Amino acid sequence: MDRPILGGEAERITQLIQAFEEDCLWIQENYQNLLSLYEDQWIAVLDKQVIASDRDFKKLISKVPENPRTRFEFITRKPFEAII
Amino acid sequence: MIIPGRFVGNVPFFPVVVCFEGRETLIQLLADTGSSRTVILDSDFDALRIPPEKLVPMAYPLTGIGGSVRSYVLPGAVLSFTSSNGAYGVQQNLAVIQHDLDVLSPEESERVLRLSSVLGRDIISSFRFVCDFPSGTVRLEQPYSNP
Repeated sequence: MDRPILGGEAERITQLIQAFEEDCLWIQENYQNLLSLYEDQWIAVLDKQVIASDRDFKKLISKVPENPRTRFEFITRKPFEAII
Repeated sequence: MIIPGRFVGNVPFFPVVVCFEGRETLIQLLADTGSSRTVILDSDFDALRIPPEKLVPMAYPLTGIGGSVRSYVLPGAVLSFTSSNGAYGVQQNLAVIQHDLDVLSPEESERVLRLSSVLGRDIISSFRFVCDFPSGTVRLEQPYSNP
């Protein structure tokens, strides 16, 4: 079922996505700096701040308070080629 | 109506809110016209923190993703996109793929966890899909709806 979402719920979703996108962009823009601090680690980012890091993704999830906007990213110099 | 996406490098992504039984998370879906279905992969499913017992085994296996995998659905999950009209929701039995990470080497596990969930043709085919590399434009358009 596909449907437009209107009113307050649309505004809430738009704000969630906008804040999430800002964090994604922040990671891209600060990747070199993040590499120097967290190379080959997973990081959790919320509101343009690294709130936790770990080499083990599942451990990282367990460290971070539940927030739908948290962005998880693996910081590495290793190239990644994928055919999905 | 336009749903905006963006390129990360040369990869087209769409941000989406995934909601299942009141639990939400935000993820980026890689637009993949080669995939017949939208699929949530390992790390994004973990980020959703949904108890694994909520997963319903898929009636038929998904083909095309290598390795030892298990296919499930999240019945009635809702994907919400931001759009020029506010927001746009798609409710479906959302496919979830879980790799057997315990049998993989740490390096293989790492690579699997880095795989993006994908936005497949089950959703893309309702739209005009604009993926314009030179201009850096990624979006889904419904040309006959209100802008």
